[in-house]
Amino acid sequence: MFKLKVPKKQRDKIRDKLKVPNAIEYDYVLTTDKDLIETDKINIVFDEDNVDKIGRIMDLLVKGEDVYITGYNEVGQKNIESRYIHYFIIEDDDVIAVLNKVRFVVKMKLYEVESLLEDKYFIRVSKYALVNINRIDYIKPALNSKLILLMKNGDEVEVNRHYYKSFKETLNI
Amino acid sequence: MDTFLIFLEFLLNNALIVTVMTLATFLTFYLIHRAYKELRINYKLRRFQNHLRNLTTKPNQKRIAVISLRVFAPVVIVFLILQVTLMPSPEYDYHMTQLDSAQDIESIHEYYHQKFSMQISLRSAAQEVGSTTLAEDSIQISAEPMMDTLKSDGEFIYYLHENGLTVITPEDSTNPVNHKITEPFIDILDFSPKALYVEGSNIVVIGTGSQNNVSMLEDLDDDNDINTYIVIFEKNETFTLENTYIVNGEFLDAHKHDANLLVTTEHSIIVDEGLDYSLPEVENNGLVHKTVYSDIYYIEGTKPEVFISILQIDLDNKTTNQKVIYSDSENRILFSEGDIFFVSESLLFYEATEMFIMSEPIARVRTAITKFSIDNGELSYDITKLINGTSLDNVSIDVTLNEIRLITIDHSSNTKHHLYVLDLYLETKHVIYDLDFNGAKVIASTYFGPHVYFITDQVENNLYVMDYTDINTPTLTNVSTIKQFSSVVAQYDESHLIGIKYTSINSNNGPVDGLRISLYDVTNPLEPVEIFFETVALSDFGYNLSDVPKTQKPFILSVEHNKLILSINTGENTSGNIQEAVLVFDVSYNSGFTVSSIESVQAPIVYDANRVIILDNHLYIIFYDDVHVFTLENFINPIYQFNIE
Repeated sequence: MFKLKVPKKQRDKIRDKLKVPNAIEYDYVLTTDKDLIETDKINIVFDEDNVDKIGRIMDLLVKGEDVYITGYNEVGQKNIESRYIHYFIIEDDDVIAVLNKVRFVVKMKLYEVESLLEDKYFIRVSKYALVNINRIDYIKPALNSKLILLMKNGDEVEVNRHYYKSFKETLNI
Repeated sequence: MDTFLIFLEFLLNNALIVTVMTLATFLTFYLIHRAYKELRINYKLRRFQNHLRNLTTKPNQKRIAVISLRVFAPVVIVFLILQVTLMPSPEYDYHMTQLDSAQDIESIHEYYHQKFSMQISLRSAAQEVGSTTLAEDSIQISAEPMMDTLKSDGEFIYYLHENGLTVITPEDSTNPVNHKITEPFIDILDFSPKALYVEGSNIVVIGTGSQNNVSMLEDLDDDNDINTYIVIFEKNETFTLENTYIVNGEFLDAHKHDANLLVTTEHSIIVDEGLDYSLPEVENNGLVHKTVYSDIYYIEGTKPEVFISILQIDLDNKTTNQKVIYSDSENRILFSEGDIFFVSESLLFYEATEMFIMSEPIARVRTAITKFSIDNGELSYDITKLINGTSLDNVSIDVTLNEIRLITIDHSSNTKHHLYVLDLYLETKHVIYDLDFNGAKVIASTYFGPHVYFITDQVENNLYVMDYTDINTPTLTNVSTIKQFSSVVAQYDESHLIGIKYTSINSNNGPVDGLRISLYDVTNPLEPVEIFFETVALSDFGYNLSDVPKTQKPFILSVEHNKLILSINTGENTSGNIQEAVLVFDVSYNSGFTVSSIESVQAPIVYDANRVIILDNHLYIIFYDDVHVFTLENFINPIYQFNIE
């Protein structure tokens, strides 16, 4: 999402503060030198003293680009920010979005949800479940090359053997 | 190397256990590997989430620490359980078991007998530590009268010998022998005199022997037929026999405090012949009291081979009280007023290693100190204290009115020593661990207030002085000004010591054995100076042996009369007799030592050497049955002599 372009002597210090990953595809260029701007991107030119402010702006940009999912329950309909959803799971042919304490039925197929949230750090862990990586509390290795994901709401989701490899690659384990 | 051989032996003898242990090792490695993987995967997750969710937040180190704890806590708990099981702390794990029944004794015997019978290398190593050509026994008991067979109450001199008790009237040269008491000693087979006490109107005689009857004669070689006799006479015109107490077992030691007499004996246990046969018993004027099991105590970890009886006799009321320790035969006994301390070796066996087949059990050597005291006039068990290391037989244990000081040697290193200072309740006042004497072993130690003189087995520079005035910063100094310090040291006054050691003296016939007697100035305790010395070539007098450098008993130091008196015993001569002699030295700060007198007679056997007494400015020397009386001014000729036979 972001690319950091700063002189070498400043790079490590600013990268350490902003925690900007090395992204190949990006929309925003962060730089302290206006000569380094890229005309086809959105450029943010900042002074080194304002690194903390840039960090907060980056947070807002990330959050502002969130995807909303429409879910239903006995109360009614709600648009849910995807970052609040812990995981999606198929129960009785329904796709359920599980939040901290409430659950919503999503009127989409799981592969459609997966496609929609492809860039939003959701990852498929089994034929029946799609998990928000940010909402994983702890990973417990199990026998038979499986992983048990302990979610922050206390639920457990199993990483299927078929998805084990891709899950590890995503986390760069 | 020993540990490695034990491990090899273990591998050969325990194929099944080895297999299980190998599998357990692999399982342990697998679990640790899994724990590492689990930790790593969660660390990576946390880093990844940090990138995604909150770009300005650093990885949460606290969170990672919690995860680490969660993963490794079970491993740590298992490790700690193993540690506690295999390596119990020797300082705080102690027991004194009060027995209830014969089954208790049998089970202790059964449990420990096998272990100790396998304890070959450990026992021999401990004995090796104590073996030396120097001091064998240098127990120092300050302010306590030494046990001996010659005593005076100011009116009479009492001398105990194998034929009985002789009462001598001092200075009555015409008729010095007041009384000869042979009853009841003639009824005791092979009576051996041991100790004599005078308390008020009571004269207490202690000796050993066997009961002179036919049934006992059949098993005279058996140690269990030896009895200790305590005979009390009333001091009157006829010296009436009042009480006779008989305790089974060999006499060990005795101590009198006020009207309480404590007598310790030891006899071995023959479990196979039934415990009733071995149980200690006291015969009081013909009435036999057998020990009850609740009066028997076992010091855990000691070798259960003998019963040590402690008999308390109230000399006023003639009542008795007996306690028994089931223990090894290597106990050292110390007294301080009404307290009695037993110091023995106690092994802490590592129970967890018992599942393995080993040639010897794995154990840690400790020293157990057990205290009995007279409480409200009655002897009772008080406390047992365990400390690290082995207390060497030849190393001083010092009991004062306030504290016990002793040095132990670490069994595993054989050169590291620990100095313990305990109060009389056996609470540790100070302890100094890991004293290193340049790799040497301590063979004797002498305590002077906050200073300790350690004498090691080094040929040169064998004296070390410890100053623990400030217990937090004790200093240990190797004294280089004195090349070889004396092996026995006694305090002459506050700033002077007298020391004695064996030495080699050049004579016309080449080097001969001799004694070197030294007077040290210890005004500065850290820098003792030998201000005078005198050598005595024992061979010049036809003597070739003296116990003086080994034990303090034949060593009389009269500060009041400036006299040093040494007893000298010789080897057997051609006629089968053994020479005995006494050397009397005048001690002077100006001129050192001057030999005053040399006396010798023929004697058939060597007796306890303490047979000299200074009384009313007269010196009484008893050579077996001859009494020689000197004035303190003239030691050349006795003013009179007589035979007590």
